[in-house]
Amino acid sequence: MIYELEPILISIKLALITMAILLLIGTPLAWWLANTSSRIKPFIEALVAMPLVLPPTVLGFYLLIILGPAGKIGGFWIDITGSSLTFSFTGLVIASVIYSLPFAVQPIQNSFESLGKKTLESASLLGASPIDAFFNIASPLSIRGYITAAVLVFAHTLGEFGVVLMVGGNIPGSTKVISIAIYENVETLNYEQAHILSLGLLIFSFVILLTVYTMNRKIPINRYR
Amino acid sequence: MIKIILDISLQLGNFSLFVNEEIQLSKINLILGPNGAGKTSLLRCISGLEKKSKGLIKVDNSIWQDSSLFIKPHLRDIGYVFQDSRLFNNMSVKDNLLFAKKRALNNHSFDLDEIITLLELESLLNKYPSTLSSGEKQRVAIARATIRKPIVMLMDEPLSSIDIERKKDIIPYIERIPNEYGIPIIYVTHNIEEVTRLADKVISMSNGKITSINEISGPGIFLSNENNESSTLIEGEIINHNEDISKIDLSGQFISIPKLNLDNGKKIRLNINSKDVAISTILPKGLSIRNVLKAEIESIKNLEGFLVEINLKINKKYIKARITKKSYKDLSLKKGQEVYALIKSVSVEGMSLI
Repeated sequence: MIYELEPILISIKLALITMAILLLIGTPLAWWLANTSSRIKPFIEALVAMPLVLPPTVLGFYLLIILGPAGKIGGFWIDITGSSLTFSFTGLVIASVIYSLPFAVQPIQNSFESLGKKTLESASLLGASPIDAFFNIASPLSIRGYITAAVLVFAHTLGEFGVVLMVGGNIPGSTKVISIAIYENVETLNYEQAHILSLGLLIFSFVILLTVYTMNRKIPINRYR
Repeated sequence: MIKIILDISLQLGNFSLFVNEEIQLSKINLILGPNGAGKTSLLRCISGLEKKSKGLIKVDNSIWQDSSLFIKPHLRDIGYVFQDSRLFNNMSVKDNLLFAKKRALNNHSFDLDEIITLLELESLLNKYPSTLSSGEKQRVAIARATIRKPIVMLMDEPLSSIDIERKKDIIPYIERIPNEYGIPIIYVTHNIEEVTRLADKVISMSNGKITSINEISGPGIFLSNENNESSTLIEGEIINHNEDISKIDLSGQFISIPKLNLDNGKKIRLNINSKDVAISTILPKGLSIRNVLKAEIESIKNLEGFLVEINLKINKKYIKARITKKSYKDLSLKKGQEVYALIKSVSVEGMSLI
């Protein structure tokens, strides 16, 4: 039993780190997408949405090549750290960040877009610089988007399987996450353990989503028509 | 009051705005014109919201825009009130006001208490915008823009989302801004009651250009709308009151209207619909119409359909009359002819009177 706790901890750690990284890089990207009229906007949007449509194996396959010792990034990583990115926790984080990118960018971008230019114009005419308006008006009013993004990224990372298997493999204590542990338990006909983990994950996910959707109803939004 | 100098052009799709004017602002400066005339675009250019605008904007002594300079909107010394109040829903009324106060330019702003008193917001301070009525929201929006103590206020149809009764409540608050603090307002509207009540100066626009600028203290402002109705806005002075009548001096001649609750000597704005002015070649007797003014025909204009529009000079003021082409022929009216203008109805301060 104690042995099976480890994949859960790794999964949660991976999900939290991915969530934090994605909120940091997803927010400026979402802000840019929501406010730009650049011609490359649809191109970037399509790129961000790719993980939604690609089979995880395709993504995993290319990540394996790029992050592997022979790949550009993987080779560079070995040069500076001496260890491989593939089949390591760091590699998993990179893969998760890319795999969950649309789950972070899209809700935040939607929030910023529904806020509309009007609110920001109003803030600027009250003396708020764009950065001031971002932190003090746009962000507080887009809190729903941030929460949705955080939860979706967290839950999606927790449920990751294909990409993890291809990039991280199944190294206990390092890359063996909960979904892999369940798969392994099923493969070895250890149904009881599989049940515990699966049911735990199911209840946990439901409770989190329920909390978020309940909270979301209570948060004020700015919407002008 | 300050002066603004505009030499700007703006191209947005099919619409183009060209304005080259030096405007000495009065207290309340209305911008009038049909939809698509460029009224809102002009306000947006002045405020810096239209980044594609080109040319010169100089307000008082500071240049906000020229060929090499574009002051960003948040650094322009203006207060802007939108048609929709655009309050921040995540903040209480008080925090909305403080948001603006904290960001006022050069640290010059009004005291919170002063603005709260001015717009009578005491009871609303801790409420959130979503719980306010549209009239209350707009009052808060006006307070929030004013607290910055701007050099000029820009208001884009601030009362258009408010029902008529509430409008009358809010107008006095708007008037206080120039009256008590000397901050001029540039005010876009196409509501004729607001025009009658507020206009010190009328800037008319059409097709992206300013077509005329008139002051209420001048000979009279001719107004027309999309429905082909026209009227003249002129200023008169209350001479005296008796039991139920107020006597108004209109450039040396007098008209009587039902008693107004205003002091003698006070200037008031009269709006006279061109259709409510009839013409007589002789001094009429035995009429129910009380207001008969001696006038001279200044010009005659044929309108489409069955009407002609006659511009009447009454001492130093002008009013227009619309009569049928048939009456015009029957009376054989001519330019320069002395006639009597029979005024059937006048509206004052947005209220329609005899």
